[in-house]
Amino acid sequence: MRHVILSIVMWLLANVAHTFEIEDRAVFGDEIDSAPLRIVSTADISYFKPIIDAFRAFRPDVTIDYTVASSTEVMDAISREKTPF
Amino acid sequence: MPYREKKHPFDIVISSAMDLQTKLANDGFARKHTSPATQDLPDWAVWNDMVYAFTQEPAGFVISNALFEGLPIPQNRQQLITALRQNPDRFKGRVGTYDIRKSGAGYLFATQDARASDTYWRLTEVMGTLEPTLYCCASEMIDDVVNGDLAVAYNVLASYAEKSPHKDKFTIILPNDFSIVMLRTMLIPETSDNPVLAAEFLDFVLAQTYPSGVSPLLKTQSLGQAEQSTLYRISMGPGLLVYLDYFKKKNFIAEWENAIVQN
Repeated sequence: MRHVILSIVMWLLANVAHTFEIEDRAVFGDEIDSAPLRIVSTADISYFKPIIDAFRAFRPDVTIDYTVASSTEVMDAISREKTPF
Repeated sequence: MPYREKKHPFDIVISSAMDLQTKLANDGFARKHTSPATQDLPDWAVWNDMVYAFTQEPAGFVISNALFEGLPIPQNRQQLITALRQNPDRFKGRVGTYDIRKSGAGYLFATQDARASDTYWRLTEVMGTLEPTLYCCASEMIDDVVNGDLAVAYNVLASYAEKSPHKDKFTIILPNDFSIVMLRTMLIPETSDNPVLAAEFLDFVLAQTYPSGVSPLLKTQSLGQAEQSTLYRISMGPGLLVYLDYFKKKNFIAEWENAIVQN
């Protein structure tokens, strides 16, 4: 039983301790939009901005929240999104 | 480095690390998506209706014009090996490449490079004799070529180098033995709260990219100028997962460390 409790505690600590480290972030559109399109990407903002601008010209009602992170951080973030906080 | 303050699921995931994107999809973290925009894509551009390529980005050398002055610009890996071997004093401490222990994209390029040719390991060992600098990111390598700290950056995405405002300071070479072409990919995660809008965005990007395979918004000049027969497009699919196997990765990195870290 002690081992089970210890395992649970260790798992909780591992998940609480993990934080998602971002390199950059920008919001295109209404900053207080409650339902933006959230993009996480390894591509620098400057690289991807032409696509964001083109999409927003097509859909000016859409806010895009664009976060840049490393490829391993991106993978970890998505893998962990299925686990509850 | 800032941290994400609140937890909101992402709706679109974009990455240059094709292997990690494939793993996410293979492990059940991506949604399947089909639409009129996805129907006529080339086979190489999609995997399992989950992972979609929207760029083709070759990797090559970025050569400092100043630090290579008087020397022929190498056009392939063998010529680069020769240049580095014959001029150790000039190039010591002035060679850079990805730290594949830290960069998913760098690891992908290295494994695909090694798969394509044995020259990769010879080149890595020669770089290792010159006290190379290892980087997380292409942009930092390019910056150091521009500021004179690097004579050559190896396996740099040409697309990033082309966007530099200091292109007069370097030459981008897509090696004519072969050039690895990375496909930047997009997927919709299973946990997205906004899958309909995410799908619309994905379709928009695909419509911009195909049928030509190159988005006019992100067009890489180098790709169009390269000899097509030398382009080695990385294939999407479960084959990419091989090098993510724990022991395979551990052994590859150990071999790479032996070659590149010699001091």
